[in-house]
Amino acid sequence: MTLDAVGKQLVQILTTQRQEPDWLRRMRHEALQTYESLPAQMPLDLSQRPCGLFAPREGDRSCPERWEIMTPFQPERNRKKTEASRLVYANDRKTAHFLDAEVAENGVILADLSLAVRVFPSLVQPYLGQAVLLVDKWTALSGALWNLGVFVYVPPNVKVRLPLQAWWQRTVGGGQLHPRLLLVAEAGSEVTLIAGEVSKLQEQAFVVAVGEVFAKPNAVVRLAFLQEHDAQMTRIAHVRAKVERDAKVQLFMLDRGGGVGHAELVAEQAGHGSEVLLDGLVTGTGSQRLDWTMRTVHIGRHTQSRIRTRALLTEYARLTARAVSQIQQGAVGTFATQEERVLLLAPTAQASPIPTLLIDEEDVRCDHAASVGALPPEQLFYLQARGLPERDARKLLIKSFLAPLLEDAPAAPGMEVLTDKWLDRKGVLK
Amino acid sequence: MAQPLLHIQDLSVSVEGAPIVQGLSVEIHGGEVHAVMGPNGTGKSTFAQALMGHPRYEVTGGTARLDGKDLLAMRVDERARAGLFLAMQYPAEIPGVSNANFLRLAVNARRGEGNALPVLQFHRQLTAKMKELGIEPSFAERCLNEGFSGGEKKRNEILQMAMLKPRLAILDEIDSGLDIDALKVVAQAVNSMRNPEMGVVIITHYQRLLNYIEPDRVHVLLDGRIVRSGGKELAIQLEERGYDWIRDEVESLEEERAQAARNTPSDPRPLDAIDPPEGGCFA
Repeated sequence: MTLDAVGKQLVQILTTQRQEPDWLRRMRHEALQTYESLPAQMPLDLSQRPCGLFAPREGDRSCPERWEIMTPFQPERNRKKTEASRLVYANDRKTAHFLDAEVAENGVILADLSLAVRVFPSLVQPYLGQAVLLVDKWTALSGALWNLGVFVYVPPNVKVRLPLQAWWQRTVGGGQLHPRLLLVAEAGSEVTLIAGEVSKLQEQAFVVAVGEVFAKPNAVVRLAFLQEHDAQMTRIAHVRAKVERDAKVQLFMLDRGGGVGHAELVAEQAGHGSEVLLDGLVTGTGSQRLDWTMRTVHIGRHTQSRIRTRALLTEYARLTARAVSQIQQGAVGTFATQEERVLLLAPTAQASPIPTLLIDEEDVRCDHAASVGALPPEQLFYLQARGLPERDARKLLIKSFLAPLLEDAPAAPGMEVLTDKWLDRKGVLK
Repeated sequence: MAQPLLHIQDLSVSVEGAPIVQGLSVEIHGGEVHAVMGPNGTGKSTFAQALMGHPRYEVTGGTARLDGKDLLAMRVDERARAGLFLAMQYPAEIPGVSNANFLRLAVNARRGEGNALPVLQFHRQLTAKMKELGIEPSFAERCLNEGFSGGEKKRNEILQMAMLKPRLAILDEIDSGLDIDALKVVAQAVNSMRNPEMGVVIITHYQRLLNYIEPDRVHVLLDGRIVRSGGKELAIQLEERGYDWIRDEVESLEEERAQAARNTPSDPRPLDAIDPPEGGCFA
């Protein structure tokens, strides 16, 4: 069977099994054609890594229930009343789905996207595939073959107090499982979503995760997108937010795994007075290779954006971190800032922060800062000279380095626990 | 606990291969205040930093013992926990770490595991010490030395010293960058801490600080060695006459020594050993 035939067959199975409507069927076919016609253009050299629709050697593997990355966000076991609103996939199965009754009563939807396509077509059809277009081979692949979908909908003026969660756990290899997230926050609503991918693999795997966020006028959306992948995982993530008038969107991305990854976080600020915060946090070990792009596109007037990256790299980890502030003509009164800081914990780790400003408008304010370095020896000596053991001194300095990002993170205490656990791993602090 | 004792014998220190401190010996007991003076570039700060264990300074010879324990064999943090304290000339600025938080970590590290100071008690102590030093309460929550003025940094060093209660404190140019009022406050704080449980070394260029903190001994450091030691009157002499007269004296002394060395016979044996023994073949 040729690769094309595999794609066709997979789309066929998907649309039939899930009784998808015609519009979605057409969408998938169109995306598949795009996928097949486009060359694989990747900033990372993926020639050594398997990518595409290859089948796993072993298609059915059990998934552990507890993952380190999830625990800080799980309620304690004996407190049933505070069960977290969440949708959890383990490989291709849903293993947990819970939505707090009070939240559901207000009309908030947290559902399997395939189900939502049939039950709430009027809420899904106008948005699905409208933020992340078929711009490259991998977004086209997601458009054709996404099969692990999560749909979040918040009606107008509803404020969801506790974070919602969406998780994709994976132990099966191959390249046929692809998460998709669609989040629609209506005017004046407020929501925090923690979405995370985690994998532990016995064979090579490939995944394309796509997230689309629609923030209507005055909506406040905080999305934390977490990834902790196995070294055998090759991954593409593309999250794009459309931000309307006076809406506020924070996209917080955390990568604490291994393997090879490419991620793109984009916020389109068409709405006047909109505000966007893009925060990226990388803790890299092993031979992790990451290529990140965080981009804000200013279209409306008087918009604000802030892009911040903090990375801790050790062993042979390598990171390319691009920050792009793109200001279109007419976007008067834009205020865009960028700050990329990388701390190298080992001489073998490497980082290239690339700040970019693309400005087509006169009346704007922009600034950018980038730095790469090791822990300052003078600071380390000072702390040790006051009696702090080297390990504690290093930890204190690293935590102070991350503090500005972690303080503002969605579900901040959980994020802090995660970084603490990473720092306590063997070999990180030496 | 017994009185602290710092014993330094023939200490030599190099920086990037260049010898800076060359055979420094001194003994400091608890309760004593020693002043180390000397012109720029004679190794005063090098001596202090090397004793604390700064990685840039390489100890090439000699010994340094605090209460009989070999300081040079310890890591920086172990030296600090053993009771050595260095108030730095240029304290590092550490953004993101609050002063109070850091001090609590440091105090607890000094007290040792399982002996941590309860948070409330710590804060009570901290507030009291800050008041004594005329430090604003907001100081505690500010980031460690970040954006501090020169005077604030120095006061912060003294605050840390007050909280950590070292057995031997070295104050490296604690007077530089201080106005006269701040100088008095700092001096007063150091004086109030004087007790038989702590020895103090004050490194300074000027005699001014010694008007407020009266030293028991004054040492003059020249070219990496203590060339003269005396009481506080030595400091006054230095203030009046500068360092050149000491340099001249030392040089002429050395010249004499060199002369003497040239006059001594090349045979190192004692004279009576050269004399033929009685009852030998020459008898």
